[in-house]
Amino acid sequence: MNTSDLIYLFIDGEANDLERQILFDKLASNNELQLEFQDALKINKNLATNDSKLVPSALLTDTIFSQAGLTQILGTTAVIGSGAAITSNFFQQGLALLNTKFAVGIASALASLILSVGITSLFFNLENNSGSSSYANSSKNKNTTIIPSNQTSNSTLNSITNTPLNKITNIPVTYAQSDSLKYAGDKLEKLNKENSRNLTYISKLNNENQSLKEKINYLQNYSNDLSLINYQNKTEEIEELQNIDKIEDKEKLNILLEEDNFLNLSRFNKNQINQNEDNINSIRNEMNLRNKEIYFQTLNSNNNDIYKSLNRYLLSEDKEVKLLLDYRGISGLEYFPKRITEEKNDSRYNNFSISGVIKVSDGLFIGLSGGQEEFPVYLVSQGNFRYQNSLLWLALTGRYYVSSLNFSTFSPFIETSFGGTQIGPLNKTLLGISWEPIKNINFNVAAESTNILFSNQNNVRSAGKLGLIYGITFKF
Amino acid sequence: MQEYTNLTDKELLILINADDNKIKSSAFTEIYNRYNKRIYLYCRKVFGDKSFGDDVFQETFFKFFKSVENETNINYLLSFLLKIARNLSLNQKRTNNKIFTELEEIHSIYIDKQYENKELGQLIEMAVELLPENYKEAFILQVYEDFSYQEIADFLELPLPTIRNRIVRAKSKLRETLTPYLEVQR
Repeated sequence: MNTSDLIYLFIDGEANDLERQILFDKLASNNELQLEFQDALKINKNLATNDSKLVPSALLTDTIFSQAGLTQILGTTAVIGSGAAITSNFFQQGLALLNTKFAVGIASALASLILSVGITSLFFNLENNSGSSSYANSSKNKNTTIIPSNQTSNSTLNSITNTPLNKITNIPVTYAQSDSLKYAGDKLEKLNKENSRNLTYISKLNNENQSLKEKINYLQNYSNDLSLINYQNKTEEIEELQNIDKIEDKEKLNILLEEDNFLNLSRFNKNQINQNEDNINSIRNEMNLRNKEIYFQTLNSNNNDIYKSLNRYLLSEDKEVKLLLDYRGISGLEYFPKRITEEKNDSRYNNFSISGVIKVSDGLFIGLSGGQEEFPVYLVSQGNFRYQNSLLWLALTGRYYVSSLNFSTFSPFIETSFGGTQIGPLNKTLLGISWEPIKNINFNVAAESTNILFSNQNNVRSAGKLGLIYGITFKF
Repeated sequence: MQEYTNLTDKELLILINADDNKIKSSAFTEIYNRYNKRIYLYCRKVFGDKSFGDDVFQETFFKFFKSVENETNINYLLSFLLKIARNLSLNQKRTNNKIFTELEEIHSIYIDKQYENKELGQLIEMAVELLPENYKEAFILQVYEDFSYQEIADFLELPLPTIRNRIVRAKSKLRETLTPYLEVQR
C-alpha cells in the first residue's frame, strides 16, 4: 500500500497510528500528495452529499406491496417522510431522466405524439362542437350554434327545443355576430332608424330582469329586420322556454339562454350591408366592437349538421387568409445532453427559419419549413471526434391557432414539424403566441423543443434543444 | 400506526409473521420505510443499470417477505436484506458495451466548460459505475451503506486486508478517472 492509499484509509477513519504518522510526514513535504489529499476530500464530500438522490419510485414501491399482497400503511412519521422523499425524488428522477441521452428523444416523441393527438382532437372537437372557428375571424364565443331562423316556416326555436342540437337542419339564413357585449343600444337604434338598416343586436336584450317576452318586444321596437316577425310569431315557443320545468333537456335550455349563444346574436342583411362598406365601418364604431370583429355566419342549407354548416365571413374588405409566410429567429436556450458551443464558423445566415403554410381548415395550416440553426453535435468517426456546429433542416409543418383561447389581438398557436437534417430525422414542437398589431402582419414568440436522431458509432443517439423563437408572419 | 416506528427490527420481524394482515402490512411498511432507500441505493449503485437495479430491489423485498416466515435468526436486518439482493444478482454482469457508452458520456461531460461544481456529484456517480465490479461493491457498502471495513469483510466473507485494498483501489481509481475534471477545478 503506497502513501496515496493511506489518504483514503485516513479519510475513512480506518488508518492505524503508524499509517497516520507516515501520511502526515509525507504530506508535509509532498505537494503532489497534498493535491491528491485535497482531491480525495473533495470527492469524499460529494460522495457524502450525493447519496440521497436514489430512492425507489412510488410505482416501484406500489409494485412491491402489491406483489406481496400487502397494503402500504400510511400514517407514521416515517412513512410520511418517506412518501415525501419518494415524491420529491420521483420528480428529481424525472428531471434526471431528461438529461439522459435517449430520454430526450423518447420524451420528445411522446410529447409530440400527445401534442399531435391533442391538436387533432382539439381540432375535431372544435369542428364538431363549436362550428367553424376561423383564425382570421377570431371570436371569444365558444358556442354559437343555436341560431333561430327568420325564413323557414318551421320555427327555429321549435327546432331548438325539439331537435337534437346537431340535427337542426335547413336554416338558410345569414347572421352576424359580435363579440362585444358593450354596444350602445341607443346609438344602434338611431343608426337603424336613420339608415333603415336591418340590424338587431340582441345582446342588449339579455338582461336578467327582462322576461323573454319583453326581450322580444324590445327586439320588435328596435329593428326593422324581417326576422322579427318570425320571432314574434313564435312567441309561444319562446314563452315556453320561460318555464324551465317544461323543458326536458336542461342542458339545451342553458345553451339557449347563454349570452354567447342565443341572445348575443346580431342580425344583418348581409347583402345589403356589403353594398356599403362605409356603413360597415360605422356599425363597427357604433357597436364598439372589440378589434372590429363583425362577421357573418352562413348556414348551409344543404348540410344536415348545423355545426359543420357554419361558415363565417368577415364583414369587411378583409379577405380570408389562405397563406402564411414566416421568418423566424431561433435562440438556443439549453441543449440535451449538455454540451458546449465551440467557436462559430458557420455563415451569418444561421439560427433562422422560413416557412410557408396554407390553410387547410379553420385555424389549421400545413406547409413546409426549413432553416439552419446552431445545434452542436459531436460525432465519432473512426476514433476521431467531429464537431458539427449547425444543422440545416427541412420539415413538414402543421400549425394550429387555438382561436378559442384568443384574447385581444393575440392568438396562441401550437406547431409541430417532422423532417430531416444532414445527420438524421428531426422533430420540432412549438408552443407560442401570435400578435397582430397590424392587419395581416403578426409577430410571434414561442418556446420550441427540437430533437434529432442520429447515428454515432453504430448507435442511434438523440439530442435535444430548447429554444426561443421570435419572428414575423405575413398573411395572404 | 405511530407505535410501529418505535419498534425494533426484531419486534417488527415478529409482527410481520402475524396472522392479522393489517399488522403484517404495518410491520412490512415500517421495515420497507426503514431500509428501502439503502437497499435501493445498493442495488442501483452496485448493479448500475436502472432497470436491473429496480428488478433486484423489487425482488429483494418480495423474497424477504416470502422467506421471513422461515427465518428465525435474523440478527441484522439491513445485512440480511443486502444479502438477498446480492444473491439475486450474483451472476449478473454488465456488458462491455455499457462501459463503452459510459466512458463516452463522461468524456463529453469533461469537455463541457460550463460544467459547474454542483455537477461533480453526477460525475462521481458515473465514475463509480466505471469501477471494477469487485471494487465497486466494497466501495458502495463503505460509502453509501456506512459499513465499516470490518462489517464489509464480514458481509462479503472476505479477509479485512482484501477489503481495505479494494476500497482504497476503488477510491484511487475514482480520483484517477476524475483527475481531468479536478485539475480544471483547481
